[in-house]
This record gives sequence, structure tokens and C-alpha cells, in this order.
Amino acid sequence: MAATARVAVLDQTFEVPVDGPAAERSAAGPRPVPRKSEAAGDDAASRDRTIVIFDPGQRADPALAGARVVLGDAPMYRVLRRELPVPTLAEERRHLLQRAAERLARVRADPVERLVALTREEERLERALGREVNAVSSFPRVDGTSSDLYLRAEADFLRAFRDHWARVSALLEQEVRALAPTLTDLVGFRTAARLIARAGGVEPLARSSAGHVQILGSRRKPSPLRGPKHGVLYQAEGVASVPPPRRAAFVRSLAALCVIAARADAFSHRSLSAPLLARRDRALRRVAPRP
Amino acid sequence: MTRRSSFHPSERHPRLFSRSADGRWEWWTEACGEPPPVYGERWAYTGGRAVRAIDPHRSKLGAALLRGWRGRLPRVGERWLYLGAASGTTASHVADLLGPHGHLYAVERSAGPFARLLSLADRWPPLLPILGDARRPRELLAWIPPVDGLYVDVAQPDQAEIVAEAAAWFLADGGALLFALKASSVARGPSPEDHLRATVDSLAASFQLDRPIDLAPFHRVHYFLSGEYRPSFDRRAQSSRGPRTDWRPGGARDGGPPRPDRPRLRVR
Repeated sequence: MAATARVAVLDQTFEVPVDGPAAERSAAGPRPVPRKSEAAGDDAASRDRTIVIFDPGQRADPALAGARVVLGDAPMYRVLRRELPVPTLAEERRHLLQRAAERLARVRADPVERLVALTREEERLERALGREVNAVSSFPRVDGTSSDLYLRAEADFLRAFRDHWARVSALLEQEVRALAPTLTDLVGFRTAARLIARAGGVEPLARSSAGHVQILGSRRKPSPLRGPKHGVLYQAEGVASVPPPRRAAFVRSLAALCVIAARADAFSHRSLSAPLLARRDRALRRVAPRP
Repeated sequence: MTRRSSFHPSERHPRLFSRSADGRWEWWTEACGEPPPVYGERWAYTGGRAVRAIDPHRSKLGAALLRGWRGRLPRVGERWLYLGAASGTTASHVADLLGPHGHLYAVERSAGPFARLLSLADRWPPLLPILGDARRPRELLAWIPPVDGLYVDVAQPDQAEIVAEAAAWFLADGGALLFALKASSVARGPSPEDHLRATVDSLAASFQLDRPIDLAPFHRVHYFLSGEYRPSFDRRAQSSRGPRTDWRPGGARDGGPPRPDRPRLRVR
């Protein structure tokens, strides 16, 4: 059986004939399920040809059509790679820096990545603003002294800070509304963005369970004694108005609705906002204090 | 007034310096690039060479040096693979040790820190940044030849598996491993010492490990593991050879062989 291995080095691909125990073991080992046409035996030449690849991404290579493709393992790669040329530092630098810049640009253009970055920025700003406001509120004001001057300067700074936060928030709302309109309607754009960012996208969020969504973003470490409880969903609009003893119950039902909303946004792309908002209001009435 | 000694070249490495300031030791590496500082570290000049201080609170390698770690350092001109390079704080010091003709393949997954790493790489010759996932070494194969050393600082629950996998694909026989283990990101429940023991046990199959270094007080519940890669290393032969288990936390204190019924922890 003639077997070759394809090994990519920077932008070149090398085909190396392989034989010996490593190749035998690899070729006989994790064998892909033969397709029907192969099992029928279409032509002997293609069946004789075995190509060992190491990167599953190479499967799409048209040069591999008709050959039996086997995924190689690490020991075999170690042996093969020693035979191949090693590029110089200058070549490698040029190639890797260029590839890195391209990949970074591609990743940056991804809407989920942009949303994650924007959400982080918005959270950071919100925390910082809270800190500043707290600091200012506890600062004693005495008219006609330097503390007065300080507070005036601080007020200017806070105004600029709030403007910046509002701009980032507007941008974030636009992004998250485009990605997940139903979820945004249900819990507000901030919470929707945080949920999506924590889950790593709308689809991962849609695939997760309501119980997972409920504690998403919780900082506490899971332990058998005391589990995580308060995730980002506890910061959603409306949760603060629920009386504390019933808050957890409301968040549980809200988490279930969030998952439904994320599924609508990720898969069916139907607008479920109205029925979900009606169900949220029903849940709110259920937890409202009895008169 | 700060009392400082002059820079002492280290006998361990031609590009490593130490000095004492106010009774505390500091480690400095000879810079591979030009100022400005990479992460706000201090620069100085000694004998016509630019040196940069390693901040032990920012860099686990710096903390390990201060805590008395004496393992194998990256040598000048070698090829090293760095998993979890983030924005290049420690990676720049490892690159310094490798020198202008060394290769440091710095793998980072997340785009934000990687952008900073990329801009650093423009002015730091040995640094070769790769945007990729350390968990999927197959996707990195085209870019990384066999390396002489592996530095891992990934703080992931499955960090021990990441080390074993990356070593199997990339690390040459006899290559060095430097591994900053963050015990608190492994799993819930058991103590950091249990995590350390489980990690040491799982790596001992293919590495000859040095004594682990506790990085407190610079980094809480972090350990620094170093060792030599021995893919065909037989651990049973090792344990029968002598008291290799004496330093293992929670292991046999008298230097005897480990109890066979000791519960094995699963590292997630």
C-alpha cells in the first residue's frame, strides 16, 4: 500500500512517502468510516493511495479527492517533521506576522467578537462610573476651598465620562439588537449583551439550559455547600422591583424565557417578542406582593 | 534613599542579571528590543546593554526566579513555544532570554490581548505571534517546527492535558517544560495541593519533573512546574529507583513509595 503524508510548513505543503511501523499503525488505526462508493470499489488506483494528513482542515483540499484520507497522530508527526526543512527566522517572521494580522482582522470583523469586546468595555465603564460617583458622593464639600474646586472638576469629568458611556451603550444596543432582537426586547440590551458575551454567541446561548442561563456570569465558585446564585440576569430590568424573597423565582422563569428568546433569535428568526413579554408580565404578576 | 547594588550577571544565563535593591532581589533580562517598556517595567543600562526588570507580581517566571527556582532556563538561540501569551508580559522576557536569533512562537486565543502582542512583535525580533487555540494543536502544525522548550500559562481547567498534548506534538525529546499551574482554575472542591498532586501525577508519565515551586505571595494558589520531556519515560521504573516522591505534597513524607490505595484525583 502506497502511503504519503501531507505536512504543511508555512505556506508550502510537502508530500512525504511514509512506511515503517509508525505509518502502519497510523493507517490502520483510527480509520474513517468508508463511504458507500468506496465500499463498492470504484477504482483500484484510488484505493491503493492513502494520504495521511495531520490538520483536519486539509480534508477540504481538492488534491485529496479519491484517496483514502487518514488523520495522523502525534508520534508519527514528530518523526516526519524532523525530516522537513525548517524556515529561517526572517521567512517565518514575515509569514507569521502577515498571517496573524489577517486572522486578527477576520476575528475582529466577527459580529460576536465585536459584541463581546463592546460588552466588556461597557461593563468596565459602568463599574468605573459607579466608583467615581461613590467617591464624589462621600467627599465633603466646603465652599471656597480646594475641595470645591476639586468637586467642580470632578463634575466636568463625570459629565464627559457619562457621555462616553452613553455613546458606547448606544453602539452596543445597535449591535445586540441586530444579533438578538427578541432577547433584547425581553431583558434589555445590556443584560442581553452580557448573556451573549458570557455564553460566547447567540447560538451557544440558545443551546444552553435555563438553569445555566440563570447563573451565567456568576463569579462564585460552584461548591457542594453553596452554589453560584446571582448571575448577570439578576441585573436585568424589572428584577430589582420584585420583592427579594420572590426574586429568585422570577429570575428562574425569566431564564427560561431568555432561552426561548435566544432560540428564536438563533434558529427560527421569528419575532416572539410579544408573547414572551406577555409571559414575562404574567410571571411578574405572580411574584408581585399580594395586596 | 534606595540602596541598590550593581547588576550581577547570572552564571545561569548570559542574558540574565540580578541585583538587590533595599534588601530585595530583582531579576533583570537583557532587552531584545527598544524602549518604550512593554508593560511599564523598569529599564536600565549596564555595560552598554539595556536590561528590563521582571515584575514578579505580573510574571510567574519572575516570581519563580525569586522563589528560588533553579531549573532549566530558555537558552540563547533556541526555539520555544509559549501557550497563553496574552499581551506578552512574560513572553517578552522569555524572548529576551532566547536572544535576537531565538524563536518564540507565542500562541494566544483571544483577540484583545493578541492585538497588543502583535504590535509588540513588530519591535521584538524573536517573538512570533500566532492567533490560535492551544487546545487544538493540529491547527498550529503548519507554523510550529519541533521546539526545544514549552512555556505554558493557560489557566484552564484542562491545563495538564493541554501541556501533555502540546508536548506530544511539538516538544523535542529532552525538551524543557515550564508550566505555571493555576490550581484554582482546575476544579471545585479539593485543595490546591490536591490539584498540584494530580497534575504532577498526570505529567510524570512523560516528564521528569523538578520540585514544584509555590508562587505565593506573588501569585496566590499558583505553582511553577518545570521538567524535561521524556516521551518514553517509564514512571514505574522511576518510582522504584528511589525517593522521588518525598516532595510530593500530601504524599509519603518519609520518602517511601506512594501508597497504592491513595485516591487518584481526576484533573478536569
